[in-house]
Amino acid sequence: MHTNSNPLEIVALVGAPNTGKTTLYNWLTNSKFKTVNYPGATVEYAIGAAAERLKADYLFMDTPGTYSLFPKSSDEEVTLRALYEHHRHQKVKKVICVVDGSQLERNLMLAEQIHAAGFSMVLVVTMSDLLRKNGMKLDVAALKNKFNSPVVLFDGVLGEGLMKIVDELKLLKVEEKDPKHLKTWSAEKIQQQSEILRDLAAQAYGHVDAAKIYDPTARIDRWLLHRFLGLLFFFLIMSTLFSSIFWLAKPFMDMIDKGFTWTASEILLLMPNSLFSEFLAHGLVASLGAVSVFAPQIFILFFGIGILESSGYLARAATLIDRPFSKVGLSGRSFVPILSGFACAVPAMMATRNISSKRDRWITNFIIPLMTCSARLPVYALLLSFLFKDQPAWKPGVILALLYMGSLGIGAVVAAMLNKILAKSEISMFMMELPLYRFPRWRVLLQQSFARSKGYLFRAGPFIFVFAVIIWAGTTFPNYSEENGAVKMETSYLGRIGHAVEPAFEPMGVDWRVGVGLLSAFAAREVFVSSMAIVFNVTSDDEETQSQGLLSSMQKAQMPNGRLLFTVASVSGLILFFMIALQCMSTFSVAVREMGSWKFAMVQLVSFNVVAYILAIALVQGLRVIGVA
Amino acid sequence: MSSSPTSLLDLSTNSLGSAGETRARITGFAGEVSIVERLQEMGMHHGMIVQCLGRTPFKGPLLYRMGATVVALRNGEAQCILIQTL
Repeated sequence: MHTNSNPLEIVALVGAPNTGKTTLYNWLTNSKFKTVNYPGATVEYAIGAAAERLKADYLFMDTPGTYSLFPKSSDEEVTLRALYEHHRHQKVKKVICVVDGSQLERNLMLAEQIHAAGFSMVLVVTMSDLLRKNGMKLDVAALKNKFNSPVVLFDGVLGEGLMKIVDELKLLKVEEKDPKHLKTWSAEKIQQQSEILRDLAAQAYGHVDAAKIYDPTARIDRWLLHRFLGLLFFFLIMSTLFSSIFWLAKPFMDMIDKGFTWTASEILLLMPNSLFSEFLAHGLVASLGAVSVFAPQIFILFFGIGILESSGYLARAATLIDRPFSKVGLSGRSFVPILSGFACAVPAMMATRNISSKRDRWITNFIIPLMTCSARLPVYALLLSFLFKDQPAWKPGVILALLYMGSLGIGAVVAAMLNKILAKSEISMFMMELPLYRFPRWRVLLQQSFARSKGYLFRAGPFIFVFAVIIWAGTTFPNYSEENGAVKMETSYLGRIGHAVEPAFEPMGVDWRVGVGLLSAFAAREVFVSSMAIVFNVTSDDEETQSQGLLSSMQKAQMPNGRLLFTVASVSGLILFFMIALQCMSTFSVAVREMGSWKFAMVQLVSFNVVAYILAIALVQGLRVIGVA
Repeated sequence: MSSSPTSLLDLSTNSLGSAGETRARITGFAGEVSIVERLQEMGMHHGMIVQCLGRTPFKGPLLYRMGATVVALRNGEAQCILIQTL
């Protein structure tokens, strides 16, 4: 049966990396599109309907940057697949080929291939603002004649030329027969083509030297890539990014914390002494609050990485880091995925498609879950604010910075080990183009960071809700009328189950309550915090906020034998466990998909968790031996 | 080092930010096929003028300016590009 669920004509945007393709895409779709699109590259292909004001019935498809139609990395394979295969949409016949106006000599090769394959093409020349600023006028007619296609100049800052692109798309004639797959070009063919295209570019530019557009960028790079200062700047930029996660987020976090505390106390005031209000306040609101508090930090992380990406600095950072990374068998191309891993392992693993060497990609994907992702942040923040309660704020800040660096260190050790074990088969390539420095488009950046933070909350939301119900009910029944909180907990259903599994957690220096938290963290790491909030927040003093209340009840919590539950030793053990353990089902499923291998994902899941468990026990017992309780 | 034709790797070993510019013309490619293909697709071709900007820290990749762009290449990649100094 023929189903035509999507009658809209589809237009693919294709272009080399850094040509401003995604900027054009954002203009065309008003930045409203569905896909995981992470800083650093276009992951998957994004599809979005034309913005309303364009009055056009098109679906636009953004594809990962590609230099040619002969793919060298999985990223480029995605582009090729997007062009030739599509299951849910119509066949791609119209293509917007995006070329950078200052890079015609190099970018036109892709246009030539798209033309040769038989796609109907609108050639969009970006950076027209820069061309104008440098007094350059392109001979558009020369390009038009060569490709027998309309050519439109586009200014990504103001959006000038947008309507013209849509008008040309509407006028574009489509061939009856489908575009064909190109056979790989021989070296001679490439050489011959590049000479033709070089002459064409020269004709288009006239007598002006396009190279001068790069001069301001080259001047900045003399500092940012300087032999000594370059490293200093790299360190400053990265430490500003990670420290702002704390100082910048603090006021917003306090606000959210107070909001949830107020809500919980209002609920209890409105409906005193009812099981339902008890559940709402101490179960649901407490667990949602415990996790929502961290939304500002996650927003800042996404926003910061977004600034680095859209300004052009990430390519420099990757270049600076190439040599150190090559020591453990990786290349600078692994830098962006690993940096993204500090936000979330899911987009980070998808970002590895940009790495052309399969071996590099394998190792990178293996170590990504070790990076301090945003879901670990709430856990560390809770445990550290406990360790450093009533101490100056810089202390937990410093330790946290060390944890971030430590995760990179652990990743390096694992990568080095894999580098020794795995057979060396192929050549690792770097070859990075350093794009022009540009000012980020703040509105788009804010919008995207906001959408991603919202995604974080909504992803974890259902788990938090489900575990809030389970853990609250489990710790409340059957003795819900018992006045003594501790007795109620001990005799509860969850308490009884907890005691059964307690021996497994006992060597880590924790009791069944933390064990329940650790188990619930396998749904999503941040659920650990909300579980702790329910288990320990039973007697919250209305004078303090939720987070203070949780900390003071953690401080008082005791093991069955009377010794304190949360000590330097047990908390350190927990932190080490969280650093290594792979407690994230989304990461697991993405690993299966990206590596196309259950084996890879299973090895990762089992080895990380077993190692985490053993090391945590070793640390706790070791600390006790040397006298740290 | 006196082998001719020389590769882009021989163009300069100055570190970035030091004085002096070295320019050359690309005369051909040699070596690993996949690297050569990729270099050509990135737009490097016979007759193109290349300028070496120097090396990044830690003896990292070399930076080459060609037209309105800069490309960072590892030693092995730069070696695949044959040049004639200007």
